[in-house]
Parts: sequence; C-alpha cells; structure tokens
Amino acid sequence: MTTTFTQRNAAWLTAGGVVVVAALVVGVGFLTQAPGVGPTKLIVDTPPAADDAPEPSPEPPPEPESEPQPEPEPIQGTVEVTELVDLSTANTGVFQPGSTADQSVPFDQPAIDAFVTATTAWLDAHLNAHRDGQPVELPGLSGDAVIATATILGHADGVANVSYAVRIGARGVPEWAEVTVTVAHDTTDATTGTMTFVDTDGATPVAVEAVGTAPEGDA
Amino acid sequence: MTLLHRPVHGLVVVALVAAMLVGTAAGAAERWLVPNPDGQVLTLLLLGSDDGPPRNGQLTNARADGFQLLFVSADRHHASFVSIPRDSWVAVPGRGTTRINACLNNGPENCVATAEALFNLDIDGYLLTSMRGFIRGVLDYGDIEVEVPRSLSVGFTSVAPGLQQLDGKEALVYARDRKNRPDGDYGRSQAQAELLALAHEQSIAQGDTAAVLHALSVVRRHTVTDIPPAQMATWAFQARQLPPENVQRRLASSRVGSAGAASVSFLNTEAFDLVRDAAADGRIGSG
Repeated sequence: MTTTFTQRNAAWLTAGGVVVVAALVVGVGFLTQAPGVGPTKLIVDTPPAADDAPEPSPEPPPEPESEPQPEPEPIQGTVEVTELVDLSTANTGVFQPGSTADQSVPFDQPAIDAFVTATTAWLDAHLNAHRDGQPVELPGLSGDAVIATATILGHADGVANVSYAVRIGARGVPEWAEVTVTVAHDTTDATTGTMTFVDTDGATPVAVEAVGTAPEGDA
Repeated sequence: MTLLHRPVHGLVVVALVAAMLVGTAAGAAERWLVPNPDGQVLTLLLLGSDDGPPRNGQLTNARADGFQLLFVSADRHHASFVSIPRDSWVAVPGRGTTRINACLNNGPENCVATAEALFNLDIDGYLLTSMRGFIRGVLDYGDIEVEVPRSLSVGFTSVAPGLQQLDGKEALVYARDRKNRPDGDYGRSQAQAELLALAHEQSIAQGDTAAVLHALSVVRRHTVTDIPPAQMATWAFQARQLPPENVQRRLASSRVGSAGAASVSFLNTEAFDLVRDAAADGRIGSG
C-alpha cells in the first residue's frame, strides 16, 4: 500500500499530539506539589547499630516478574493420505484367475477416512501431551516412548507445523496405517524431525520408528 | 510337475513368511518401539497347495505338498522350521490314515487339526499359498540374489550358474530342482535353506517400517490365512528382534516304506522328539 502525503501528515500530527499530551501530564504533576515541599525523600526507620547485632541481610533483589506466556496453539497436524495399498488377493495368483475369490475388493472409503481421523487425532493428542510435559505412555510397546517422541519434537517451543503423511493398507477396510510425522521448528536452529507410526486399530501404534532430526531442508 | 517336485513350493512359502518374520532386525533398534511379546511360543503352520498349472484344482482343497511348522521363541529372539515330509503316513481327521498332504482336501483348518493331533501342538495360525501365488509373491517382494552352483531347470524354466538375481519362477526352480543336483533331495533341502537365509539377509538390509510393511503386504496378499491382520502386523514387527542367525531349519526324519501299493514315509521317533523340542522354546537343541 502506498502512503499518501495526507496520511503521512496525519501520522505526524498524531505523534505531535501525543507529545503534547505527555507534556501536559508532567506539567500538571509538577504544579500540584505543595509549595515549600521539596522532592520526596525515602525515610527508613533504621535501628541503632550494635556490635553484636547481626548484619542485616541485604534484601534479595526482586525477582523479575515473568512475562505471562501465551498458551501455545494446540498441535494439529495436517493430514495427507499418500497411498492406498491393496491387500486383497486379487490378481496375485493365489486363487484361480477369474474366479470369484480372485475378484478385487473395493476400498471402503468411509472406513478408511474414519481410520485416518482416529489415527491422526491420537497422534495430535500424543504430541500435545508430550509438549505439555505430561508423561508419555505407549502401552504394550517395548522401549522408551519419550525418546522416540522427543527425537522429533525436540524443544518444547517453536513447533511451527506438524504434518502427517499417511499410507493405508486395506483389504476393503483398513488393516494398517503407516504415518510419517514431520515436525518443523520455527526457531533460529530450525530443524525438522520425522517419525513413523504403524497403527492397526486407529488408536494406538504397534510400532514406532523415530527416524531422527535434521537441519531444515535436509530432512 | 512330478510328485517329487511338488513339496518344494511350500518351502518357498516359508521363505516369504520367514522374510516377513525375520523382518528388519538391523538398523537403529534403539529408536524402535515394538510390541512386547506375550510370553508364549508362537507356532505357525505354513502350507503349500499343489494347486496350479498344470492342475486346475482349488487352493483350499488340494494337497498340502508344502507342510512346515514354524516355532518362534517366547522372546521372539529364536525360531525353528521343521519340515514334515508330504508323504508322511499319519492319521488325518475325516480321512483315516493317509498321506499328510491329503489333509488339505478338507481345507487348511483340517491340516491344523492334523498337526495338532499328531504332535500334540496348539497352533496359532496357518498360512497357505499356491504355486502361482508364490511366483507372483517373489515378483512383488523383489528378486533374490543367489550364487547358483550349477545349471538348474524345471520344465521350461532354467537358471544359469553364477551370481543371479532370481525372479519368482527362477526362485521356484532353485528351490525345486533335485534332478540336476548330485545330492538330490539333500542338496535341494540345502538350497531351500540357503534361499531362506538370503531372503532374511535382504530383508535385514532394508531397516525401516516401510520394508516390514512391504514384506507383510506380500505375505498378506499372496496367502490365505486365519491370522487376524492386526496380529500378523504385531508378529511382523516383533520379528525385528529375531536375528537370522538364530533361525534353525530341520527336516523331520522318516523312513521310506509302503502302505499297500503306495510308497509313503513313516515318521521316526526322532521326528516327534524334534517337534517337541522346537515347540518347547522355539529352539532346536540349545539353539
């Protein structure tokens, strides 16, 4: 947008107005002090010094008030289904070619959509919980869930975005989902991390592989 | 296809399944979270149907010329294959005493019942494929690199000596051909074991979830099974902890005899001892 001459003048006038108002406030404060009263002094009631009196401990410096941190946005990964893997026996030679058993099984799209939604919602919740410092538990899996998750989530702040690339294996209805999770950090040491979950029930993974992190652009 | 050739394709099914089960044990294992084993030895029955050209039978009621028992230890760190001769003369539910491969005439569940009764086992599931299913399965899975010691052939398919990338048909020839091997059945069995080992190595070379899922998908597509898909996926990922050097293979010993006019095999006492040993902890001997 181009700033016009009139707009620039208006800006200057506004700024000038603010200066004038500030001057007026200072001036009023000075003028309202009682005549003959000098500047305010700090009066401290100090007890008389004694040899055995303990040295007064210095007042601890006031702790700087921490700025209230804004609530981080909940992690909600973007989802892309990259591949549907047909797990039917159609055209595999297992059954006589052309027989009823050899016919393909159409994908059940609503079931697949529901499976993807359940899996990625579970991952959203898992990543949010980890970022919020909550214990990470993956019942039934051996290994340290924190390692796998922390590998890609890294530092708790600065998560720029999360994406899920989903492969679905289905024989009509889904049997497994392989989800590659990519987390991008929007910080000075920007990194991306990837982790792969395999899920067979739309709720919890049967395997997790933390692929690792890399400087952004190398992942 | 001669009768002598037929058992072998079942063994190659084992190669596929073993590749899946062995999975990808290498790689950054510390970064993997895999399902905890349930503390029980896993027992699977792997069947190869003789359905396929030139026959036009049905996969699930043909003959089980490939008949393999697979035991995986409770911690999933060891596994044992026990190969049962297809001509083993045993009691088959619903069919009286006959060759064990006849169990499939009544469906794969009947083969499970046969093995459970014969060896006093509790089988967790079966996997069954056909000749065509195996060939296309290898095509899906990827060529297997093999150092072929001599010219081999079955039917119109031959394999030249030297380092070869075997496709589905060629892998089948490598596993089946006994006539061109000086040590016949013994050499063929060794070749099957070698094929298994090579399939394991190739799986291990690709150490990520995609590789496990690829092997899992090949097995899922090219077999008929009663194993629930989620259970199969769990076992496949558990198998990441199964080093290929911890996989043993043995042939159940038998003696050749006759039943009427039929030439059959009678399982020796050692065969039952072998199965009992492997079923106990997934290992043969001290493993």
